[in-house]
Amino acid sequence: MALDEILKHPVAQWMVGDAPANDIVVGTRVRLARNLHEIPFPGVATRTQLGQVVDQVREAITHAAQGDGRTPRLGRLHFFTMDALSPLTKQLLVERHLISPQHAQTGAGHGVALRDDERVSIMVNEEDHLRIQVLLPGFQPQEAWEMANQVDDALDARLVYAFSDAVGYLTAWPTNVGTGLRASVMLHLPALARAGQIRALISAVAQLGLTVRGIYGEGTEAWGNLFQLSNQVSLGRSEEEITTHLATVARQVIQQERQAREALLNRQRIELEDAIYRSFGIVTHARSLSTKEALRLLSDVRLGIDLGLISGIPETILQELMVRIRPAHLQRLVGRELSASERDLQRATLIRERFKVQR
Amino acid sequence: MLCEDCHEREATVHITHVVNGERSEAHLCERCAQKRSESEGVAPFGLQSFLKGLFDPETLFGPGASGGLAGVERVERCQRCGLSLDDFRRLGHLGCSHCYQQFHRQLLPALQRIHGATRHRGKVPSRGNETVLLRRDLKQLREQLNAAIQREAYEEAAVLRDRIRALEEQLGAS
Ligand SMILES: [Zn+2]
Ligand SMILES: [Zn+2]
Repeated sequence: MALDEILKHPVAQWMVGDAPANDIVVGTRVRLARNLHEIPFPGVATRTQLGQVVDQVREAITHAAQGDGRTPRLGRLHFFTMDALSPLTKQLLVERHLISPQHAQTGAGHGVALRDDERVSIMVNEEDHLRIQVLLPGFQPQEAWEMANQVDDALDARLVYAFSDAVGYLTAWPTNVGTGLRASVMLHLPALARAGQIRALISAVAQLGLTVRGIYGEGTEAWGNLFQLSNQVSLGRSEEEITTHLATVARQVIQQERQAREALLNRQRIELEDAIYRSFGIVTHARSLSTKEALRLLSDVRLGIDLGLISGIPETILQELMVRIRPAHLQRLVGRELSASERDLQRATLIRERFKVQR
Repeated sequence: MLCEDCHEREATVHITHVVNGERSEAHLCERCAQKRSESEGVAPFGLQSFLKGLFDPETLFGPGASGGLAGVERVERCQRCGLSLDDFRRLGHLGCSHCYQQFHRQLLPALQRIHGATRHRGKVPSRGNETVLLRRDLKQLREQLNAAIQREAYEEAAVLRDRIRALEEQLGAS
């Protein structure tokens, strides 16, 4: 199966459908870092060694996809080497959160495996030999960990991992050693942002071994009020403890966002309604939109939907469009390369059309 | 792009020299860039200098860590992958699993700083698992054997000895 076939849907599978707490949680991601025994990490490995990793992992993935009696079938996992993918396809993968931007810069000796529902992806020879990733819609940390664990079990049956009794799974960066686990929930926090609470949130979760950062934007900016809450500690706590801890803190953040929304409605109803309807007006009529502006407006629209001010538009509009308005997706839609200003025009057109269809 | 010195690793460091208005470029892997900069006294600029900012020794090892090591320790290298302690401090990442043993002493305070812990809890791989558990059992049995001998419980000791032998065979075979 060609990768373009898997990516043919305008929206990644993990973004759509009903999911727990998806009024605030855009998605949940769990990543496991693994390395193969006796082969240097990708950063210092020779080309030959990178090739060995690719061969071993490709074989393990093929077997895992089929299942072998001892381990369950993992389903339709397809492996691709990075040099077999066009720059546009690689960029589509980045925009769908399936590979990292750094991984998109690689070629021969690097690879990616993808399940056709796009919920499981495996980067081969990124910073570690394997980065197993599971992406689920809404708030599902436990489910995402269990799924990643299953994928890991299936690969573990065929591969010998670099592991030490003392510090666990050995990773290129000491920040990932131990469980190799990074669990994240992607949150839409417009009310907390409006109330100026993000800074306080960042320092509060830091004390709990977690981090908050913007998903899009540069520096401290978080375009579209989209944030990622992740564990920072990967060593000394079990996977269940890490996942449960993240879930507990995330639930509190969700609770606080709900309270902040309530407070906004009670205290600044007119200002809030005005801001939301203005954004709705602009986003459905503008002729040119930058990514930053589009995300800001869509964040307001999404909040309007959640508060019952705007109806007839699917709740997942934000996570759907946050991917579809990005450069490679726009370029694929139009079928040719676009300059930055052309992209702004196409972005506005896409959003206008999308809202027209709904109403 | 391959490194132009070793032709083995990916070139991730790109150096531009301007000498008398003449521009020359070099595309090197991190290891060879380090070697060149040692011999030329030129600091390479690239991704790694950016990462260095994030993972400089002061952050990883606490204040004063960068100046605290000199002489012999500076050339300490991983016997498996060749990464030096300096490389690790500069890059922030390790070269291979053996580095964890090689730089164990320097890593411990860093792990404590990052994770608040230095020992793994949680999942264990299936193969690592078997040997790790067998070794743990073996250690316990040997302790029990010593205790039994001290107590002059020779029958018990004989049983323990058989079990130890069986485990040793199992470990040798795996
Ligand atoms: Zn080189
Ligand atoms: Zn090493």
